[in-house]
Formats: sequence, C-alpha cells, structure tokens
Amino acid sequence: MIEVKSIKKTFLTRQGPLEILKNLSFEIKKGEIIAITGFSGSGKSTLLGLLAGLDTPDSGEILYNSKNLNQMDPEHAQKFRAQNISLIFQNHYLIPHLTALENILLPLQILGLPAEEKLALELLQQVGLLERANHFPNELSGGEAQRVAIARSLIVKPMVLLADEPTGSLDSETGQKVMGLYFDLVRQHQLTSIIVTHNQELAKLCDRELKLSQGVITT
Amino acid sequence: MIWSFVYSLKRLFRVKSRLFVMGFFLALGFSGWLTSESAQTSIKGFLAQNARQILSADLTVSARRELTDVELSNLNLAVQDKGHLIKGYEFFSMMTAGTETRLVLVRVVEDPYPFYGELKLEVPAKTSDLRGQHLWAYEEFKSLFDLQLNQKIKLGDSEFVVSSFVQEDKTQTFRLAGLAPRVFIHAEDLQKTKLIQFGSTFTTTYFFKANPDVNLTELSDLIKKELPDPAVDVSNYLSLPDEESSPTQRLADFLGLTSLVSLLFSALSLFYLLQVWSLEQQKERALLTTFGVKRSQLFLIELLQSFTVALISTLLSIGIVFIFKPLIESGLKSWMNQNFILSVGSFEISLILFSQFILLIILSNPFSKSTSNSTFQLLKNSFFTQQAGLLRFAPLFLILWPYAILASQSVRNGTYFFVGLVFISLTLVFIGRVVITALAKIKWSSWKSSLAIRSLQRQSTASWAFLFTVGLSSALLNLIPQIQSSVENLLTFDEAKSRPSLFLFDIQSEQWPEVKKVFDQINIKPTAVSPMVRARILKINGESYERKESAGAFKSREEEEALRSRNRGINMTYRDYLQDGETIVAGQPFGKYDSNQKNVFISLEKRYAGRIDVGLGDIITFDVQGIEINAEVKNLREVKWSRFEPNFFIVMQDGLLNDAPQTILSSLPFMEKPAKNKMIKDLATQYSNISVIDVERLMDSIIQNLERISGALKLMTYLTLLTGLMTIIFLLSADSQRRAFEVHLIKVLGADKSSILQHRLIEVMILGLISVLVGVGSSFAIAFVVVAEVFQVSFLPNFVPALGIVFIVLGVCWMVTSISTKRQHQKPSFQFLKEED
Repeated sequence: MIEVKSIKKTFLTRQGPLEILKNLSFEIKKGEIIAITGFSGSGKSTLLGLLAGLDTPDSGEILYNSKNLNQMDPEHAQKFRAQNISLIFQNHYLIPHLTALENILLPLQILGLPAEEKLALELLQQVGLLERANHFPNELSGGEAQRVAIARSLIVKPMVLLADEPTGSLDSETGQKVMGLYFDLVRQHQLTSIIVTHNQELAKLCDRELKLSQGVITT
Repeated sequence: MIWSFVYSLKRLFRVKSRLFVMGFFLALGFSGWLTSESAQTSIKGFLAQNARQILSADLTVSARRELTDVELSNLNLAVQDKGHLIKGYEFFSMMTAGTETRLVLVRVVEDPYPFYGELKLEVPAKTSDLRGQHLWAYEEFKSLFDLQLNQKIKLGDSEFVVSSFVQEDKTQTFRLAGLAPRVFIHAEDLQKTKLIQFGSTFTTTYFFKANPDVNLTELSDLIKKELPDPAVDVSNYLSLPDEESSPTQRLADFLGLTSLVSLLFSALSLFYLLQVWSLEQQKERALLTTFGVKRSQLFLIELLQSFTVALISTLLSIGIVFIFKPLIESGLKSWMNQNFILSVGSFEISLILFSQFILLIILSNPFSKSTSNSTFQLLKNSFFTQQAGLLRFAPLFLILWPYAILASQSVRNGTYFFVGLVFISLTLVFIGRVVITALAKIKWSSWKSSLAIRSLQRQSTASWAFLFTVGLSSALLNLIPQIQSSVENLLTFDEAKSRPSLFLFDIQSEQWPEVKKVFDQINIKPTAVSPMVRARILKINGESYERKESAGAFKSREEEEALRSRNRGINMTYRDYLQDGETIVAGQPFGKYDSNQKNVFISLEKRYAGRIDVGLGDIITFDVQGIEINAEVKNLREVKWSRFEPNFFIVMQDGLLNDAPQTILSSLPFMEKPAKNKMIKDLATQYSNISVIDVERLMDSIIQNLERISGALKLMTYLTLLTGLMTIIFLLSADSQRRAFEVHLIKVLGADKSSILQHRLIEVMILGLISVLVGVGSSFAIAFVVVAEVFQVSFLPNFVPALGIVFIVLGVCWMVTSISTKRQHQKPSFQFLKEED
C-alpha cells in the first residue's frame, strides 16, 4: 500500500549539510498500524512530513498504491493528499474560532465536498463528545480537543492516518483513553496508520515498530 | 532588583528584532514630532521677527493725538532704564512736485529709526542724513510725479530735497493704510512744515527698543495701566496682528497637526505590536510567577524593559532627525528666507524619553494583567481568541488625549482632535459590528468566505484591533490632505492677469464717472469698486465698546486676537452683493436697505466677528460722521484675502450710507508696464487727490512667500502620508504573521495555496473595506471641525485624495496579505506546525 524507496533528506545547517534520512526503504500494508520510534533528532518527524506529502525527499520515492505523490502536479497532489492522508499532531490544532462540529466539517468544505453534518455528529459520538459539538476549543480539555482532532481527521474517510506524538501533550491516563479510541476507530474504519511516538507502550500496541536511528531503520 | 535588571536585559537581547521594530516605529513618530516642533518654534520666531520689522520696534505706543504731559511722563517712567525710546509721527499731507500736487503719507522719524526692519534705499543713507530737509520717497513717486533724485518738493510750508528712493520697506504690510506710498522726513524738520497744528489729523507713535532682559508683555501691561485711555494703543511685536503672517501661522498650525498625526501613527503601531506580543508576555509572566517571582519584581522588569526600549527609540529618533537635518534646514531656510537651525536640546531629548516611556507603560498596561493564571489557562485564552472587551483598548485612548494636547499645544484643539478620534472609533465599532453580524447571517457556500467571516465574528478582539488601527490610520491619512487642501485654498491666488495691479484711493464720488471714462479709454475694467465710509464702533448690544484688558491674566492666542482687534476706527463699505472670493458662511444675504427696517443689516468677515466677539443677530452701534446707526449682524462672510482685492471687514446694506461722506476705492487688473504708467500719469494729472498705488511688486513678494508655504504644506503632507502608509503596511504584515498558524493548518487540512490566499484576502479585505470607508468617511467630519475651529476657514472636501487613500489602503491590504501569505508557503507546513508544538 505504502512503499518508501531509498529516500534521502538533508537539511542545510550553519555547521553544514545534515543528512536526516539516509537511503530509507520500507513498505506498509493496507490496514497496518506502524509505530515509528527513535531518539529526538533521529528523523521521525521529517519522515512523517515526507509521508504526508508536505515535504519532498531529496531523492527516492514514496508510493501510495503505486502512485508517486511527488510526481503528481501540485494541484492533483494536494487533492490526493487531502482526500487520502489525514494528520494528527501532538497539539490538537483546532481552529480557535470554530466550534468542535465546525472544525470537524472544515476539511470537507475545503475539499468542496458536501458538509455531512450527520457524519460529523456520528464521529463526535464515536469520540464521546456529541454534547460538546457547539463548544469552542478553549472550552474543551486537552484530551477532548485531541479527540475532536481525531474525529476531524476521519471525516474525509482517508486511506492513511498519520499521527505525530498524539499523546505528547496529554497526561498518561488521558493519553491511554485517547489512543484506545484511536486504535478502535482506525480498525473500525480499516485505515492504515503511522504513529510517530516516544511512548514504548503505545508502540507495543501497534502491529509493527520501525526504529529510526541516525537516519536509518535499525529494526 | 539586580536579578530583575539582568533578566530584563537578557530578555530584551533575546527579542532584539522586536525591540528594533518597536523602537523604529516609536522613533518614526517622535522624530516627526521633533522636526515639526523645531520647525514650529522657528516659524514662530520668524513671525515674531517679521512682526518686529513691521512695528520697527519692540513696542510702540501710539495715539491719534499728542500724548498729554502726564501720559508722557508716565510712559517715560515705565520705560526708564529699560531701553531706547524715540518719537515719530504719521499723517497724510499734500505734496507738490513741480506743478503737481498729491496726497502722500508722511512718516516723521528720529534717529535711529527704524530699530528693526530695513529700508532699502536707492542711495544708501542713515536716518540722520534726513536732517536738513532731506526726504526719502517710495519708488512709486517716480511715475506719479516724474520725481527724480535731488529734485525739490514742497511739503507744507517747507521745501525738501529728494535724497533717495525707498526700494523696499520691510515695515510695509498688505493693509490699506500700510499700502499708501510714503515719504520719510526727519523730526527736526517737522516744525518748519507747520503740518501738525491744532485740529490736524495725525498719529503720534513712540518706538521703543527694549533691553534684552525686558519682559515685553509685562511692560505692555504696565504702560496700558499707566496710560488707560483706550485711544492710546500699546502694541508689542509678540502680539502684533498681521494679515500677512496669517498663512505662516497656518503653516505652524498645520505642522502641529502633522506632528500630532505622526505621534498617533506611532502610538497605533506600538499598541498593535504590544497586543500581538501580549500572549507571549502573559505566558512568561505566569511562568515566572510559578517560579516564585513577586508581582513587584514583574512590574520592575516591565519598567526596565520599557525604559530600555524608550532609550533605544530616543536615540533612533535623534539619529533620524540628524540624518534629515540638512534637508529640513535647507527646506525651511528657503521657505522663510532666513537661517534655520534644527536644534535638539536636552529638554527635547528628556521629553521624548519620558513620553516614550510613559507611552510604553500605559500601552502595555502591566497593572491589568493577572499573574495568577496558570500557563495552561493562558494558552487557552489568548488575547486574539477572546471576545472583544472594548476596555482592552482603553490604554490606547488614554494615551491619545494627552498626546493630542501635547502636539497641538492647546487643550481645546487637542480635545477636539481626541473627541474626533473617539467618534471615529465608535463609528468603526458600530458599523463593523453591524456589517460583520449581517455577513455572518448569510449562508456562504464557499468555505473561504464562511471561515473568514466566522473568524471576523468570533475573533472579535483581533477584528477590533485591526479595525481601530487601520481605520484610525486611514482617517489620519485622509485628514491631512483634506485640511491641507482647505488651508492651501486660502493661500492660492489668481492668475497674474486677473489679480489687481493698481489700487486707487480717495476717489471722490463726483469724480467717479470721469475716472471711469479714463478706464474705458484704454478698455480696462476695474476688478473692484467700493465706496469707503469711515466710522467708529460705539457699542455692541448696548454695551460700550472699550478696551478690556485682563491685567496680568493668562491670555490664549484667541484672547490676544480679540483684544488686539479693538481698534475703534474702522473703514466700511456698503453693497447688496458678494464680491468674487466672498462666501456667506452663516446667516442670510441681504438686499437694499428698506426704511421700514428697524436696524440696517451688516455683514461681518467671520474672523473679525470672532475677534470682536459678535455673532448673528447682535446689534452694533456705529458713529458715522457724528450720526449713530444701529446695525444688526445679518451674516458672516469668509473672504479669500489672497485675491488681493479691496475687502472690508464690515459691509452695510446699500441704501443708508449712500449720502454719507465717502471716498471710492477701486482696483485695476494687470496691465502691461507702459499702459500702467500711462494710467498712473493720466490719473495723477487729472485728479491730484487720487492716490494710486502700484501693488504689483509687493504682491509678487507676498505670492512668492505663499508659494513657499504652500510647498511646505505639500511636503509635510507627503511625509505624513508616507509615515501612515508605512504604519499600515507594518500592521498588515504583523497581522499576517499572527495568522501564519491558521494558514499552515488549513494547508495541512487540504486547502491549496490559491484557496488559502483567497480566504485570507476575503477576511482582510472585509476588514480593510470597513476600516478605510469608515475611517476616511468620518475623517471628513473631523476635518470639517478642525478646519473651522483651528484654521478658521471653510472646509472644502477634496474627494480625489480620499478616493486615492481608499484605493491605496485597499491595495496595500491586498498586496501585503498576498506577499506575506505567499512567503508563509515557503516554509513547510509540517515543520512550521512542529515548531509551534
């Protein structure tokens, strides 16, 4: 489903070029939940950015169902990415002046798809926040806001769900609850998911763990 | 204390780029203020110098009679050991040269007249050279009499030799009496002429040159007290009215306004910056509180930081002023024809430092912020995501009032300006709220529009901050050209061919038909014909019209003008029509006098009415050649003095004064030199009593000055507009930076670059449109009040710059948003959001 072939990524720093990803290759099957772990600076988030199509590798290719996102014209790539790849961040990143329901509906509106309010409410129900549909982000707790962000990521029915330290800003109890919900939903919606995390317990819950160290996969 | 100081310095070093931006905008406003203040001081000095030249002394005491022995003794006592007093006379007399006799204005002078103001002579000489029956004559007499150097002329019972011609007289003003061509003789030769005898009409003037340490205002007050007769006029150069100084005074007022606007731009930029950065500061304060830092320490950090920013900004302000110093100095030198030195002394530096420090303290509002909030709470309650609490903007308005007073140097004008800004702000809030609420009710099909409008509606504090700053900036931007065009209109003059070149005085009524024939012969039409009747004001609304001096009390400029205007002898005319260049600004026009009328109607020049404190419906009792006439003020006129036509402060209805003793005053348009000389000669030959004055040279010099002032007004306008535009560009850039997070998030959610740009543009353009339309629209109302109250001229709305400002501000909104949104795309969204984490 996702094929990563010999990708390289280098950043220019004051001290000279810094190779973050070195000839990285791996495959992820449909419905798999993969954890990418590693120390800070190992290239986890850079890899996630490349997988999300928000950045391009210096060389190599990333194929989604044999389609290379980086070879598509920008408009097509943008649309493909928006329809098939959703992102969840450590911080919820909800738009502060939109209610929970409006935040969930926003990706559909951006894609020019009908605002399926029923689906959005269903998702809110699935994340246990139906009663908070009309609340603004600053009226929600951190865990609640993250659950709204998960619901938002599912509204476009994506193929792949990418999560960058999704429990990083939550206490462990809330984190466990949120991730329990996350795994349920990913499996329920038959999604492929890649989670970048430091959390070993969370990594163990995934189907597979890819350890990154100095730009290469060690396991 | 030491910890607070070290922490402040470290923090300032960390945010040095912000520090520079803040310092730059503060410096921009304050350097504008500093420059305008220096220029204003210089202009006031120039005006005082000019007034001193016209007066020829520091102080004069004059009366239409000789001073009594007691008065003279009191005067001598008052000025004893304080300077040098000389005596002079002025009167009209017949002068005969060859076979021609004409009326001339004789000025009798003593050594060392004039104390100030140069008499430029064809043959250089000193006043003492006049002794021995010598005479200096204005150059006009060359044409009027065919007068030549060393020719003998007869004045009264005495003969004089023309020893020089006066080419330029700095004591001459563009007032009817001041225009008359003069001859100068020495006081020692006066008695021989026997021109001043019992019953003669003359003015005695004592010219006084004060020692440098003498307080002229106090001395004037003392003399007025010692010589209480209202017929004795005491003037000093510090309070001398002069029609010519009026445009220069307007320039000084305009400079005050531009300095105020510069300061406001600076305050607006600073306010917006501090609000944009307030969340971070609040977080930091909360964090420090959790580490046990006391509230007093936090306040000390705030004070130290504000002081450092103020110090840096003061240095930058002085730097900017010194960079532009040569340009400003040479510009002002060319406008005022005298050396001008832009000085920045320790007083100015201290004032700027203190003002900036106070501005920073008040705008950052350190007292209002709670330090007990947890960091988490603060994160969720940022300034810009909260609903609008209009009290948040209180510091901005709290600072605007004293600044307006400081820059305008007048509580009244500053308050007018402040009230105007509050009015604009309230209009912005009202219209902004109505429009955004209405837009929010519409069901928008496009996410770009709906998201933009929700953002406007729900991030109301951010919306108000934008509306206030861009709206007030647009208002200030439009205010300057609106006022400039109204003031400049006062300074514009007609084409050379349509303005008068000759003034004719003392034409007797019965001579007028014949004089007109002379005009017709060369096919020339007078530009103005006015009968002139001499009168005195006896009463106003039944109360005796006398000099009312407030001994020792503080006098505003307005009060000074009112006092100065109480000159009891006046010239008036009568007619039932308005001349070109006259406009009725209050009351009704009137026709011919009807004998059934209770009182005859009069029209007063607006500023004159203000000076004598008379309004519509008031009754003025005149003494016209011994007959008392009650006149009702029917209208107030505005007169465009720069047309240089014979104008009158008082115009009475046609029909009542027609039989009163009068002369006719006329002006003739531009003529080629030979035709003009022939006209002067023909009139002089046929009508020796008619005074003909060639005003072309004097007018050319006045127009030249007006052109310079007009240029100065334009330059100051452009500089202020530039500062304003820089402020708006900066505000928009700061706003775009603030919205970077949203841009990247929407991008991650799937929006393409052009949709993101459209979304941002919709939001900015809605706010921009409301701000600029309300700002520019309401600034017309403010301009109307400022022009009427401060500059005392009619407001002439000029829609071209207003339209230009609307387009420029909207264009800038579009351009800055487009550029900054595109720049935001250069940074990968994922990386940006990671950094935000």
